[in-house]
Formats: sequence, structure tokens, C-alpha cells
Amino acid sequence: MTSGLRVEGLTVKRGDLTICRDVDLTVPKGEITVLLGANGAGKTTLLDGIAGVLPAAAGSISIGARRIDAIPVHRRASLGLSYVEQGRSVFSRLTVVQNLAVVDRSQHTRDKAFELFPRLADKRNVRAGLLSGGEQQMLIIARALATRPTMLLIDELSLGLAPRAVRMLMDTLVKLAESGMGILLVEQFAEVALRVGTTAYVMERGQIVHTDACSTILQDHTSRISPYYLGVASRQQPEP
Amino acid sequence: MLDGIISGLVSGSTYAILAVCVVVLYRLVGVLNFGQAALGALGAYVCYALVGAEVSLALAVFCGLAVASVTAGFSGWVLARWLGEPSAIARSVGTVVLLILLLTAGFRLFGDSPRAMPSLVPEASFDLGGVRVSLSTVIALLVTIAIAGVLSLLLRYTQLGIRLEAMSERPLTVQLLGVNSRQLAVGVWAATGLLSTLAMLLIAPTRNPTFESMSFLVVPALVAGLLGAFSNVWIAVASGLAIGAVEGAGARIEGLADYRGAIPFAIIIVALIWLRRREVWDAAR
Repeated sequence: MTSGLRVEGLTVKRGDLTICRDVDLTVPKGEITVLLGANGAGKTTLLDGIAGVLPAAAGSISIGARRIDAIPVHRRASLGLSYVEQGRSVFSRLTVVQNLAVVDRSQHTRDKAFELFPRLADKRNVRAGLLSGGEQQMLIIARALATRPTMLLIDELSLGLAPRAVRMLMDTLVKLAESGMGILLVEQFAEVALRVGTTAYVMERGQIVHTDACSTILQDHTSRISPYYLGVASRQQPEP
Repeated sequence: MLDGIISGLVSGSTYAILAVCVVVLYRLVGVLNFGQAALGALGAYVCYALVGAEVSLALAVFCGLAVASVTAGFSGWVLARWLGEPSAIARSVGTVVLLILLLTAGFRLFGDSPRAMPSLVPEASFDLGGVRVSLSTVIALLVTIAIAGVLSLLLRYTQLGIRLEAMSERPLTVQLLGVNSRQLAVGVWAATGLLSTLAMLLIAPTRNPTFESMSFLVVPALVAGLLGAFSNVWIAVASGLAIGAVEGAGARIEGLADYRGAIPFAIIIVALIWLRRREVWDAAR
């Protein structure tokens, strides 16, 4: 594969503790790839490792033909990799427009953001800390898109959001994937993620233990995945 | 008394500029820099050493500013490199090491004798309502207000300012958005080193100070920063000027003049008691 994100044999440590071990993963352009796993499985650490927040202790990370594992965090963004961290990582003291301006002050960037999320246009001069949870996540995605990524890593987009907001954001991710972007999605609402995703990886104790098409996992209620990631989640997740 | 207040405004301007540096560095980079005045003292002493070696004043000032700026930038880089992750307290304690290093270097390079420093501003004064006002006082005030004003506008209206504000809140997120936040932090350090030198060049001719006494001008600057809650540049400026004015007035009062150096400490105690007035005893620990 020459396009998209490729992770091979990646090991990531936090301090002296190895969290992710020998992870292989591919995220093709134009698709949403889903990463599932219980709390503490190492999903966020894996994303941190891919984004460069944590160094790769072993293995390689490539976007297209270019290896990026030795490149500093801020330069990975210029190579097309954007990472939406867990939690509402808005700059709360800055307005919506200023949050976007951290990346790019151009009118074009603002127009694109407001075209994708019209609700943000009405609150362009409101401090980000005063936005609702859903609006903050919209702003974070719009801000990440301002870096013009080809590959988007998203960690727990739906955390603390109303089902309606989750559905709206998932629809947006589908549109972005259709436009050619590759998306690696870590999501607590497994079923919602599987419905929009193409391929799913399942992590346990820092390792990938299962890979399959999202549609297969959704249909195969007898698989070992369903009871863990669909059974519990489906009680509270929004209808797709 | 009024003469004392007016003459104290030169010192006040220096405290105010140093306070602006302290506030900006704390607000944007999360470091309370105890070595702020020592960085300025280094730049000022390099400048006057070069003047003493018959280098032109303009070139000497340029070299002084450059040395302080580079030293401050390098200090910021070291702190960001090795103390980037730990808390603001750990980074601030790191600046105590910087202060000690600069004091040691200053002692070795320039000795501990007071030096007569030439003024950058021509000796002139005028009468204003019966009070003599020196040109250096006017220039010092204008420079202070200009620095605070330019910094406020820069932080509010430029992309650099927006990025710096963002960095102060979420340095990692800024990096993930493709901005080199370490480089920004080093830039802030370098700018504060330069401004500190400017502040010292204003005050030095009025005091003939030692390197050590200059370095400890960080105390009134910290007081002014504290009164501005280490976040408000304009309150810090007003506080710096007020401390200078009170010191100046105190110098004219017999019996108080010898103790005017203690005024900032008295203000620190009063300010801390006032700021903590709603705290439950022992809960703040």
C-alpha cells in the first residue's frame, strides 16, 4: 500500500512501561478504520505514538511512502497527519474564529469550517469554553481540518455528547472519508463506529488481537467481539 | 514629597517593564522567572563593559540586548527541553538555578563594585507645576507604556499572539496543530531577556548599581506581577510604577529612607493576606 497510514511492529512506552507492543495497522485513504478495545487496552497510547506525542520504542509509522516515526509532533501535521485528542481540547479563552486562526487566519479556512458546521458560524465570536459539548467537538474537528490533513486520528469523539450530536459528527466523518481522507477512529459507542467504518481492529493489553471488516463484526453476533463491545455499549448508544 | 514620587517613577518604570516580562513569561510559558532581572543585568553590564572598552554606545547597547536575548532564549530552551513536562513549580524552581548561575557569572565577569553607568537619555529637566521632571523620567514612562501597549496589541490581534495564548492553555494541542510550541516559548524568553536589559539600561544611571543589586530588582517586579495576578499586564505596570513612586516618596521621609528597600516585601505580605482572605486556615496547603 503506498497511500494512507501504515503502522508496522509499533511498540510504545509510557516511561519504562510498555503499553503497546508490536502493533500492525493500516488506515487506507477514503475509509474510516475503527479501533476498539476495553478501557486500558492501549488505544489512546497507540494514537499518541502514531501522532508523535509519545516516541516509538520500536517499529515504523509511514504516511504513503514516507516514514514519520522520527519526525517531531508539529512537523507530522505538515505531512498530513492530524490528531484530535480525547476530551474537549478547545482553547477555551479564545473565540471560535481565534481557535481556527491558531492554524490559519484565512477567510477560506473560516468559510470551509462554517460550511461544514453552520452552527459554529453563529457563534464565531463566542469563547470556545462557553460552547456546548457538541459545538466544541465540531470546532475541534474544524480546527484539525484547517491543517489540511490526509489522515485524521480521532480519540473518543462522542465522549459526553448527546446521541443527536454523535450522529451528526459521524455523518461528518463519513463525508470526510468520502472526500478521500483516511480516518482512524477510537470510539466508545462501538456499534455506531462499526456502522460508519470499513475495517475494525480490536486491541487487548496493548496488542491487536483481531481484525475484520466492520460489517462482519456487526452481523456476526456470535463472534468473540460482540459481547464485549456491542452488548454493553448498545444499551446506551444512540441509534445510527 | 511630590519630587520624590516623580523621581521614583524611573525605578517604577524598570519594575514595571520587568513585571511585564514576568507576567508574560508566566502567562504564556508557565514559568515564574526569578532570574528575570539578572538576565537584564547581564545585558546592561555587557553594554557598559563595551562602552568602557571604547565601543560606540549604539553598538554596545545592541550587543547588550543581543547577549541577554540569546542567554534568555537558551535558558528557555534548556527548561523546555528538560523541564517541559513537569509542573510550573518545577520549572520556576529551575529559574532559581538560572539566577544563581547568572549571579556567579556576573561576579566573575564584572566583580562586585558599583559602577557609574552613562545615561542613554540626555540630562535635561523641566518644571511642571512647581515639580522638576527629568527627561529620563518621561522617556522611562513612555517606554514602559509603549512596551505594555505593543505587547497587549500583539497578543490580542496577531496570529503570533493567538498562538501564544493557545500555547499557554494547551501546549501539546498547539504542537499537534503544526505549531512548534518549543520555538515559540524560546522566542518569548528571548524577548523578555531583551526587554529586561532595556529596563536595566533605564535605571542603571540613576543608581550606579552592582550586578547583584540589579539582579534582585526582580523582587519589586515579582510584587507588581503578583498584584496583577501574574496575568494582567496593565495592573502589573501600574503596580510597578506605584512601587517606584512609594519608594521615591519614602526616600524623602527621614527615618523611612533607610528602610525603603523593604517596601516591596511589605507589599507582598499585605497582598498575600488580602488575596487569601477567603481561604480557610490551612486549606490552601
